[in-house]
Amino acid sequence: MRDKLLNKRHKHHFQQHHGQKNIHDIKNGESTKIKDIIGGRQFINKAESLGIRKGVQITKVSSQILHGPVTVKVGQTQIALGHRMANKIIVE
Amino acid sequence: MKNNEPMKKILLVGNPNVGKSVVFSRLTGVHVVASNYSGTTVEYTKGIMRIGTERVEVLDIPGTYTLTPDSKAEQVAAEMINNFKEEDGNIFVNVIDSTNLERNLALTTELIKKNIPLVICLNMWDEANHTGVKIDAEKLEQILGVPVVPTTGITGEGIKHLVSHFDKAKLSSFSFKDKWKAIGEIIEEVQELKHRHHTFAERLGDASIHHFWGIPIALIILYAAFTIIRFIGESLIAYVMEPLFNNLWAPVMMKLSVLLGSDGVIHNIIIGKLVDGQIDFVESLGLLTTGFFVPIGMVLPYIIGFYFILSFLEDSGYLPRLGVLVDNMMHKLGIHGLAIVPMLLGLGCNVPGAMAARILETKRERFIASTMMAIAVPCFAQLAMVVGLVGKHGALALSMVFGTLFIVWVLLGFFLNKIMKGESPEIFIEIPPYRLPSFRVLMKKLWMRVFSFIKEAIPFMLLGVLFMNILYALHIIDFIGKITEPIITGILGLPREAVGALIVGFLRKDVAIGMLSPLNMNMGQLVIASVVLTMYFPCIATFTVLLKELGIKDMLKSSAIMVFATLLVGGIMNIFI
Repeated sequence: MRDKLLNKRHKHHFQQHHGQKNIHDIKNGESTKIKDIIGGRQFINKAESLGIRKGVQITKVSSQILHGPVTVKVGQTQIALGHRMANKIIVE
Repeated sequence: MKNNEPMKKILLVGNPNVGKSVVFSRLTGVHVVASNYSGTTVEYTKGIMRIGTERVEVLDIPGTYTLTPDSKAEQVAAEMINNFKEEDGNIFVNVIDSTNLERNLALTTELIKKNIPLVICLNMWDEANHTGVKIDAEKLEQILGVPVVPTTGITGEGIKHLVSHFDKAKLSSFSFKDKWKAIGEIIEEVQELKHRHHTFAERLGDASIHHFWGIPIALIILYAAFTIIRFIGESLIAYVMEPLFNNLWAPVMMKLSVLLGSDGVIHNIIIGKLVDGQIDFVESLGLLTTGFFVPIGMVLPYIIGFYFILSFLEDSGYLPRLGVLVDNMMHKLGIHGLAIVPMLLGLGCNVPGAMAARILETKRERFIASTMMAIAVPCFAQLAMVVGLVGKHGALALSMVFGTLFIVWVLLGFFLNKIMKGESPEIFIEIPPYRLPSFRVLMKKLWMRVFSFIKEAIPFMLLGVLFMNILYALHIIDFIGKITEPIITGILGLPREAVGALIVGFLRKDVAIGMLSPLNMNMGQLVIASVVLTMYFPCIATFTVLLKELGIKDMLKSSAIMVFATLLVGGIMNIFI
């Protein structure tokens, strides 16, 4: 039940921010600033704890084919995250 | 120290993959497995160290990013941190990866609020220096108001210095409103980054998760891995184990055999049945012959090869990258890419594999991964025996065994994913930098794992052989064989005597495979029996761990799937082979 509600909320956010640039819209090797992270509290917390948060410089390292995970670099750390998660990281 | 006083405790706390376990080993002399990826430690380990004349308890706990956990391993850590009491002398030692100071300080700010005296250990100090990260430790100490000690756990540098600061642990005087703003200001003051060019390791790192080159590189690595394992295993058997058993052990056993009268109940338990008047280490099935030869002469060489390669891959940092590459495919099976870690560990021994499933976030994923592993991933001891026995019939027979198991593994995940409610979360993990494994550390880890194999395998192996001999002597195996004949022979097409192997398989699967040898089965039967022995039920050690990890209800479900899948697959194979 709670999961369903969360999913709805994600969808809502997703539609709201549609049209904005996210991680998928930049090229491998390209670097930019994170403008916003959309999603539930849990996702934002996990992202922050790995160093992915508003205002931070982010570099895209690679992305796997067929909607596979995306690898990014934040500070000194490389992080792999799922395709849909990458949608939620809005960049400049 | 007074005996009635509780021992002081030191809790090693930090983010995943910052080297807590290495620091722990340095402090206590207790060796725990450490690797270059998040989530190697899934359970806490206790150790005792001496400071002067005092004995202090040190606890190594799983790494965590925050005190609000999102995997079972992190939950273990968060609970231990939250339950840690402020008693006389109890302290936190916050182990930090110096190359990632900013991110690591987030947990530090949470620890500060716990009001327990704190010491900060800036670990991986040498790596930070090499990668152009300069940290002013003294300034950090001033800002936070707690001791800050740089260390390099791998070489042991700074550890003595760290220990000498344990009694200087303090409550932090640092106060802040906005966590990240405060951390940003600290970083501004204490850290300096030098710009530098991409190192070779970084280029290699990028290539191994490249969308095009990643998979070919993975295939080359896996091919090389198995070639090296085979080379190590076969060489040890040909040049060490066989000469040892044939030239030294066999004559001693033959003398003992004559002494025991060459036949009779006692002789058959200790030496086993003679084949053409000689001891056959595989087929005799005696305590001192087969009971020793199977674990040491046939299995151990491959175990050494396997753990050498696995430990190398773990310490290099390749495993999480492999996880990223296979993530897409694994999602179709209801688990994400990181589940490759419990699967690979399970290939060594299902017990640590079942424990490692804790790094997965949801109960659903843990259930799917554990069930897939218990059913379709043979442990290396069993695998070595299958290679030894079925391999005699050629590569086709071997590929039939492992091909079937792989197909079962895939289909099982696919169906469980379809049937079970919910969806598996996406992968979200830190990719560690590549590190060249230190030979000394690698050898120590290899020794720990090989030693634990010997310690676990030999008693169970001897017990299995003894148990089976008694069952044979009392004609119990004949009896069970008759009752189960409709299943064993009717559905699976195996000789009735194979039931003995299935019974012993609960204790040790490798010795169970060995028991198939004297049954004179044809190739098809050997293939079916090998698959069935892998699938039908985990060995008792794995079963105990799975029961603890999954709970009774899920374990019953998992067991039902095992039995059903075994009969289905065995039955189908019997029709076609």
